[in-house]
Amino acid sequence: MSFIVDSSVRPCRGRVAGSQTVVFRVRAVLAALAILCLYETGSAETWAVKPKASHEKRLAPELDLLQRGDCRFRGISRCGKAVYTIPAEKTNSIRSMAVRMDANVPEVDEKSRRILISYPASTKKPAAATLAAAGLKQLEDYEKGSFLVVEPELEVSGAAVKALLEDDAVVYASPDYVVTANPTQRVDVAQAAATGTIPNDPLLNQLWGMRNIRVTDVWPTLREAPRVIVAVIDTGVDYNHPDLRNNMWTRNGTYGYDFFDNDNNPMDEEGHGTHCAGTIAGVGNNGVGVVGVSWKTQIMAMRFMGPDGSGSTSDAVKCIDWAVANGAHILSNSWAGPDNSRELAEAVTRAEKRGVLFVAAAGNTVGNGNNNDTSPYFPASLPNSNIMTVAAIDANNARGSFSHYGQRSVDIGAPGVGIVSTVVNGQYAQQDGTSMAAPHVTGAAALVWSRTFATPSQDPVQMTTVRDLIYANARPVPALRNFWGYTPPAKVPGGVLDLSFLKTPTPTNGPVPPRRLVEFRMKVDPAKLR
Amino acid sequence: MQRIIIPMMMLLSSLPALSADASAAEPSGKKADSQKQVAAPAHAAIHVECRGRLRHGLVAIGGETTGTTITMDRLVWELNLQSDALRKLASEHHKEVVLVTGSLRRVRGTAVAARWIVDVEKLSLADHETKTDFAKMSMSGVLRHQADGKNDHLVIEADEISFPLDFSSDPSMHNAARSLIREKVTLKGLIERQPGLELPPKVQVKVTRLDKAM
Repeated sequence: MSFIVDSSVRPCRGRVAGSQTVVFRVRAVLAALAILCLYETGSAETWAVKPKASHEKRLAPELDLLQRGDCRFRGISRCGKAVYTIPAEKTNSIRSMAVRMDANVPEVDEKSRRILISYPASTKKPAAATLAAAGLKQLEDYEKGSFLVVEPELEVSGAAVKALLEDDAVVYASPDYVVTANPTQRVDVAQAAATGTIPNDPLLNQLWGMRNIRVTDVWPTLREAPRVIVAVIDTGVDYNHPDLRNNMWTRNGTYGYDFFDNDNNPMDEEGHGTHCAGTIAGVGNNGVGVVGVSWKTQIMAMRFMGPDGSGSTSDAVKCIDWAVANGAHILSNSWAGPDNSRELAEAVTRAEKRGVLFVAAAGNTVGNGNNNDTSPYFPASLPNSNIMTVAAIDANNARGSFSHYGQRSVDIGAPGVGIVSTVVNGQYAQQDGTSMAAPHVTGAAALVWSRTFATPSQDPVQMTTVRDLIYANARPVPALRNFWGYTPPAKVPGGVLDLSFLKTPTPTNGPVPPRRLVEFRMKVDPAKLR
Repeated sequence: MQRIIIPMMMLLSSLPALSADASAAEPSGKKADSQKQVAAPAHAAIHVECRGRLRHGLVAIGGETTGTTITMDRLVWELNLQSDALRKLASEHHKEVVLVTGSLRRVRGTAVAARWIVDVEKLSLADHETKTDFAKMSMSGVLRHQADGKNDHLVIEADEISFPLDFSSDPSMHNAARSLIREKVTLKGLIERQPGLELPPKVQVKVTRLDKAM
C-alpha cells in the first residue's frame, strides 16, 4: 500500500497524530478509488455490432461507425457479424448508433480483417501514403474490379478512416464481408457460360421460384425491363449490394427516400426490403449471387419500416405518394396490418387513378394462415382495381402453411417458401413469406409491362393491361382452387404466377429482340398488301 | 399479492371514463357484467400489468403485427385488442402513455422470429403521478436451474417460455427458491431488461413473491 504515502499530504496545524491517520486513510481510499476509475476508464470490451446506416456515402456502415464513435474495428466474424473493441465508458454512445449489439462475440478469422477500397480508375488509385497513414497494408490490387484489398496492421480506428476519406481516390471502403456459399452453386457457372441463355449467377440453382413461374423459359428472349420503375416500399434497400447496385433507380445522387428517419438515405437496416429487391430485379448474368425475375429494372428504394420491421401507416402513405410522384410504375408492398386506414386507402386510390400497379403481400400467420375474406389485412384487402394480392406457395405448388388466403380478397399465388435472395452487407439469405411471393409478381409485372408497351408510363390502360395479362395466364393448380382467385379482375381460381405466355409474341408489340444480335427477315408478297 | 395488485387496482379505478375492457363492446351494445370479462386464452399463463407508450395503426413486414404496441424502456410488446371499444380507445390515444392488463404470450413469426403479444383485457390512460414505465407479471411455471457457461441462474418455465430470475430485491428468497427447483411455483415480479447493452434487449424477472403451487 505504498501509494498512500503522498508528499502533498499536509495535516492541518494543531491536529493531533490521530487526525493525521484519519486524513491518510481518507487519502488512501480516494487513491484506491481513483485507480479503480482509471482501470474502468482504460478497460475495453469486445462487441458484435450491427451499425445503423452510414452518414458518409463513401463508407460502409461498419467503417462509418468508427468516425462517429470511439471504437476500433476488429473484423467480420465467420458468421458475418462486425466485431469491435469498445472502451467500456463508450458502450452507451455506440449503442445509440447501432441496430443490434451482442456481447457474445464470435471469433474473427484472419481473412475477414480485410478492407476493400474501391477507386475510380486505374489511373487514380489511393496513394501509398494514405494507406500508411491509415495503418493499412495492401494485399492485392484487383484492377478488374477497381478495388484494393488491404489489411490493418492492428485494428482499424477512426483516424484510419479519416485518412482514407482525405484521399479523393477512395470511392468506397467496406469490410471484406464473409459470404457463405453452398458448394453446389458453382456447378451452374460453367453450364451457364456454355449455353449463353442461362444467367451465370452462381445461386441460380437454388432459385426454384424462377423455374416455378417459368421465367427461365422466357429469359432467352425477354429478361430486361430497363424503363420500368419499381418502388420497393419496405425497410429500405441496400443500394450498395453488388447484385443490386447497377439496377438502382437514382436521381440527384439519391436512390429513393427514407420516411422512417425523414432523410434521403433509404439504406436498409433490417434486410427485408433488400431481399424483396433481389427477387424483383437482382442484376442478372453478372457472375454474382442471384438473379431477379427481371435482370434489369430500376429499383426505387422507399423506407418506412425500421430495424424492428414495423412502421406507421402514415409513413407508408408518404412512401406511396412519393414513389408515384417520382415516376414509379409498380409499387411492391410486402407489408400489412389489421387496421383499415382511410388515409392508406386514399393513397392507393391516388396511385390507381395515375395508373400505378400496387402489388401487395396477402400476409403471414404461423400455423394455418388467415382467411382475409373474414379477417382482412390492409392494404392487401382494399378493393382498388390496381391491387394484386399475392399468396405464397411452396416448391410443390402447395399453399405455404403460413400464407393468408381468401377467395374474394386474394388474387394469385407465387413462390414464397425457401426463397434465396439478397440481404444487407452484400450477403444472401433464404426466407419464407408472402413478402417473398409478392416480389415475384412485381418482377413479372415489370417484364410484362416492358414487353407489352414500348414506352412504359403511368397510365390506367397500361396498368390494367399488365394486370390482366398476368391474371389471364395464371396456371391453375387444382389443390389451390379453394384458396384464391374468384373475384374479378382475378381470372383463375387457385391460379399461380406463370410467365410462359411471354415466350410467344403479343399482338400489340411483337417480340422483344434478344440481346444477341439476331436478324429477323420476312418475305412480303406485294400483291397481298392493301 | 397485495404489494403488486392493489396499487394497480387503485390506479385503474381512478380512471373510469378513460378505460375500457375487452368486455365493453358486446354486440347487444350492453356493457357486460364485470365478471364476464373475456376469458384468457387456454395457453395464457403469464398475466401482466404494464405502463408504457402506446402506438397504434402500425404495419409490419409480412403483416406480422396486431397493429398496436406498447413500449416500456425499449421493450416492445404487441397488443391484441379484442373489442371495438379497446381499438377505439387505442386509436384515440396513439403515442400516449397507457396502462394495460392482459395475458402475455410469445408466438413464432414467419418474417419476425418471435412476437410478444398481450391479449388485452383492460386498457386505460396512465395517470401523471406514476413517472416510470413498468411491466408487472404473475405466472405459474416450473422452477429450473440453468447454467450456460457464463451465468448460473434460476429460470421459470411455462408454455415453452423461460424467464431468468433476479432475486436482488430479496436475497433470502433466492435460498428459498433453490429448494423449489423442478417444482411448480407461482411467481410475481417485474419484467425488466437484463443488465447489458444487447439489442434487442434480453429480459429477466425481478422476483417480488414466490410460492410453491398448490
